[in-house]
Amino acid sequence: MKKYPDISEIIKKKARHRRSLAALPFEKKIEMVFNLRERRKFIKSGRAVSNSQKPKTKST
Amino acid sequence: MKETLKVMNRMVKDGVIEEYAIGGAVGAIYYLEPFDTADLDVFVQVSSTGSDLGVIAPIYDYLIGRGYEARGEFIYIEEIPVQFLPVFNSLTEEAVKNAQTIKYSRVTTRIMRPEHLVAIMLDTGRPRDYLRISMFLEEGAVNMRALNAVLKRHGLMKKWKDNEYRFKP
Repeated sequence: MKKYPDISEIIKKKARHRRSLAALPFEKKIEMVFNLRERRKFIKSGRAVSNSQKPKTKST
Repeated sequence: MKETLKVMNRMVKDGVIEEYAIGGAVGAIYYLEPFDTADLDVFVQVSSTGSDLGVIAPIYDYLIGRGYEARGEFIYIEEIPVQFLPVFNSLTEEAVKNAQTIKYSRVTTRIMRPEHLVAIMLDTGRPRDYLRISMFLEEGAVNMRALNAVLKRHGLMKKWKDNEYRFKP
């Protein structure tokens, strides 16, 4: 039977990180939301560029 | 956002709205980890009554008169897209009435309590609402006794029971 790595420690760490984020002051969290929004714009713009670089398929 | 809140407080002072409370994603972020959201949902209690959205027309008149721009369903107040929602049932009315007062960068504002946010999400019932309910439960951010009381008062107990399996961690 194939053996897979145990990632329960990573999951626990993630949960701890989420709790620490939830405990931040509201102002800090809102600042992070604005940063997320900026990041989303950046990611979206990246996707648009990569789409435009896709080779076009030749129509027959 | 501080300036947006100042404008909303001014609206209460000027009698445009009786009271307001922040709900939606930003309300949830007060209790949870931050996540991406587009707008600020503000539930308002207005003095006029009616079954159409005309009850919030004075809000738009007031803000547009002060140079703020309405775009789509939002009105941009100090660069923040704000969606005004009149209280539309007994649950949202209670949520605004019982909201807690907090300080945001030394500006007083009102945020719905977690139990009301969860009840409203349950009532709305979109997949993203269910996801957020599970976040509230996972974080232990709701008082279950208080939540049960809210659900009972507003006839949402059955819907909770029917969907509880979705929220269980």
